[in-house]
Amino acid sequence: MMLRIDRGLSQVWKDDGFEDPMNPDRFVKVFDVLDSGFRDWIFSAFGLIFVAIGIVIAVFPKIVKAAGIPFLDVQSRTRRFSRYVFLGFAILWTTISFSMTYSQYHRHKALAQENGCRIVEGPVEHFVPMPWAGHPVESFSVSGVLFSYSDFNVTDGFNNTSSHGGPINHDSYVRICYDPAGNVILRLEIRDFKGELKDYGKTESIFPKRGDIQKLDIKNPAMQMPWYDNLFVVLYFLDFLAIQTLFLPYIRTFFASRRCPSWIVQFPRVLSQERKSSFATA
Amino acid sequence: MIFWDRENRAIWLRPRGFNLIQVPLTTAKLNVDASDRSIVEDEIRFSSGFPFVMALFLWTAYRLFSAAMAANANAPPLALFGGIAALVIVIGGFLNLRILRSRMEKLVQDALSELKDMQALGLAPR
Repeated sequence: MMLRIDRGLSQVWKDDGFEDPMNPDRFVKVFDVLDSGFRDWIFSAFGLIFVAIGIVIAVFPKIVKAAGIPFLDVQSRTRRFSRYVFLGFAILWTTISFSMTYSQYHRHKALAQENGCRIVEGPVEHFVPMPWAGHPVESFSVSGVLFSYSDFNVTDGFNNTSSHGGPINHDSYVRICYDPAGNVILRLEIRDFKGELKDYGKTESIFPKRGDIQKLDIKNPAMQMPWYDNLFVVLYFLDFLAIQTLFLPYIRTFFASRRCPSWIVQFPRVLSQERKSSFATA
Repeated sequence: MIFWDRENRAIWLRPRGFNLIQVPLTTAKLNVDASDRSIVEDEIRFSSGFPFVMALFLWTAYRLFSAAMAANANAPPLALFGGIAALVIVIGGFLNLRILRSRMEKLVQDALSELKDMQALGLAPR
């Protein structure tokens, strides 16, 4: 008999069909909220990016002015107020999202630790896989209890769909410990699981490696990405930054398509030099 | 919206509206005299990056369609498809450019009229 030991995800793996005395019910644990930890920190951490931008705009306006970013160089009182609103909203959003996700994780962790979750066992029924791009979400039922999830959902429960390399399919026989509020899967065990033993609670990277994508069963040829696919994401942000900072140097290169020596017009002093402004009627 | 370009003795105008993160296709330049007080000339200027962007776009479209149409025997020849697409883009682009230039001319005239009104009201230095 051949047994393999995996790092906490599955204690025993049976390869040759003989009964394993250590695992008589032949269930393999593929997900446990206690093992995966607080995964949703990434969601609220996104807010820190906007907090950082808000701090620069509100607290260090001289940096913005020195950088020559015209649209962030706010002058009027209304705009000065709005930059504090931006910072306040960013802090509020980050705080609320963190407290909500963490309190949910804390509750789920307590349920799993104290065996307060409900347990259902049986064959997977009415299995509907999620397309790789989402919509609809993956769903199935076990003994009349409906479960639905998506890799794009913010949750600390199990949400790895089959199109993203998840372990469940229509033939699976599962035992699930779940939170009845929302039917969130807190622990998932699959009987006679033959799939790859890995961390199914691991959050997908926003910059997946080429090998990770090729492992998935994706029929869409658009997903057969070349090696430079992630470069476009970086280029997008660079492009945005370049538009903001190189605006004036860029428009200086424009071709003159019509030139008209016009009548001499004097302009008022209010249009101060080297700053963005607008006419009085704007 | 105004950008004062002191180095070039110019004021750059852009169309108003929510176009902060777009790359403008046309812009207007008001040339300022040596005293930095008067506008002596206005220009309508066209994007220098646009030909490169269009060339890149057409090349990408060509690569995309050549890959997709090669698998379909019943599809029209790629040269014919590309020729028609290029013709549509050239005619549409020419008409669109005239519209854009006309709009920018109107913007320049409005801006200069506003300045003349301010001058008449005594807000501008004489």
